[in-house]
Amino acid sequence: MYIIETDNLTKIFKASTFSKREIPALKNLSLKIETGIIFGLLGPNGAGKTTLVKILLGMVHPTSGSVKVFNEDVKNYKLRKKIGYLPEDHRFPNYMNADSVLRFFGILNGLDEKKLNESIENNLALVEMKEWRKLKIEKYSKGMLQRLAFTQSFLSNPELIILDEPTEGIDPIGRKNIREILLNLKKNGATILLNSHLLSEVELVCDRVAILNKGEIIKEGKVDDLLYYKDTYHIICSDMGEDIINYLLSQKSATIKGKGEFLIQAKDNSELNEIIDFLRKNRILIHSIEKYKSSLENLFVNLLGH
Amino acid sequence: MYRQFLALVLNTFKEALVKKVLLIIFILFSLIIILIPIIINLDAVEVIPYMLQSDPNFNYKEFILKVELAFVSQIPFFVLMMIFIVMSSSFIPSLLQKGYIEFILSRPVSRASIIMSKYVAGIIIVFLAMTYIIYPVWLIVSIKTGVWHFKFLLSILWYTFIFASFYPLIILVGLITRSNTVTLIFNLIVFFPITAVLSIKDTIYKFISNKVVIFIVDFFYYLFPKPWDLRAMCETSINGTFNTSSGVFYSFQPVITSVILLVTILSFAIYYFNNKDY
Repeated sequence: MYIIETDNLTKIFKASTFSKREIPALKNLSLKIETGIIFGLLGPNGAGKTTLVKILLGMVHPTSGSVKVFNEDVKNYKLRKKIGYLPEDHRFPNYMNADSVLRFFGILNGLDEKKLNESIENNLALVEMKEWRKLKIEKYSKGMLQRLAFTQSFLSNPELIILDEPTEGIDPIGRKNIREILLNLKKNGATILLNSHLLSEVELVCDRVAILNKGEIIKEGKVDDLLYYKDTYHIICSDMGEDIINYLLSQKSATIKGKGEFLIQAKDNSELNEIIDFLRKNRILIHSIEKYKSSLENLFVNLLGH
Repeated sequence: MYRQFLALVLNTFKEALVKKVLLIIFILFSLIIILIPIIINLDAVEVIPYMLQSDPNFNYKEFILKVELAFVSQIPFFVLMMIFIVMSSSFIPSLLQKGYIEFILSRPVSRASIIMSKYVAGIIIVFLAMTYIIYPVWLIVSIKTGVWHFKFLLSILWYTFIFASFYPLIILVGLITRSNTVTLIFNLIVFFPITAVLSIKDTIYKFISNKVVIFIVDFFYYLFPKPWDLRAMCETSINGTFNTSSGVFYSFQPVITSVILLVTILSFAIYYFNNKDY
């Protein structure tokens, strides 16, 4: 069951009202996002991430292709009742406070008075903003504004939550808090589309990711599949002599990272055990052996060729 | 659905309250309301009707009516409309601010409702402001003089209608330019001098024989709202000469064309908003 489906989605912007120059933001983008997962949308600035998100929310109209959310055309504004959204570079009117912001957007989301009051109470406590609920927005710090904007995105308990840079301006403890909230929302059945530059955050919470570049998906899959190198092991051991290192380099095509650290490929357990036997025979103490995992940052940098 | 619409309307009220314009209106109107009974009670003013009674053509009721009509004459009308245009010019540009419009558009509310909520909120504010000034003035003058001229209260509805016919243009320009300043300047110029000059087109025609120029003037007359014509209709409807041979207007043309223009501009504004990327 897919919550988001795009097929050959294309968006071309005009450079300006009177200009004929066209800027392609999305090029024949086809993407399917399953229900109940946290999906990370990555890419450099101008890759088309925000355009995609805005098309999903009906804010930007596609040039061609189809896009469905909850198996319905995004032109149907009523389906947004089931969607929560946190935009990047958001702005609340200065005369409002946390309470009035959440009340206003809660009503717009169709929450009745009782549910709205309960939700405001619970969620302000969750993001540790209860104390500041009556303080005017103009007095808020960047982190407080971000927490408030984040709170309004899941106030009405939506089935799909789209977050554009949710941890922007938040300190490490606040980020951890947000991560926990996201995982809890997922546990309660929500699907989360996360657009973030903080790759380490994405790596920690996302089940699947797609990397966009110049309006196209250049990589998409499960985080584990993308990061774990097939049949590659990371071995940390006591310092090895030159002869052992030479053997590993010439016979096993190892990648030596230091005197006591290397990466090696082994088709199966018996081949891995052969290497272990060789090391032990040469009185090398093995400290750890684990499947080699890259980082999203490495993957991102490698894919984008920087 | 009505709750969402109401929330959007109330939010516009709050926005108007925060901006100083509504506060200025409130202070200005309150001052007038306070000054009226003081002026009426002045000996010098009280003696005027008695002095004028020496004139055989003097009519006390007509005199009171003229006093009331002074409140809806051209200069107060000009000042009031300027204030209302200044107040409402920021409604759409502030809605379209980057970072805020995304919050609004991501809600289960149609874009048409968003525009209509701004329109309704503006009209209600003007109606309340006009009621706040006209009703006390009428009440004070009526109690003091004993002349209960109920038609004077029609000016509340007339002014609200005049603003309602002008406001779609403010909304449309706000949507297209997204700029508070451009919207304000454009609409102030349209109100004065453009529509003011166009309202005296019949007088202008006496000095022009070129049919092309007359066509162009006519074109712009029907293209823009007609606040000055409607104000004149308001005055004639209060003094009782409306739709009579002695009145200035014999037809409802300015009202009918204003309604058509209002619906057309508002529909176009909604169409534009619906198709725009944000």
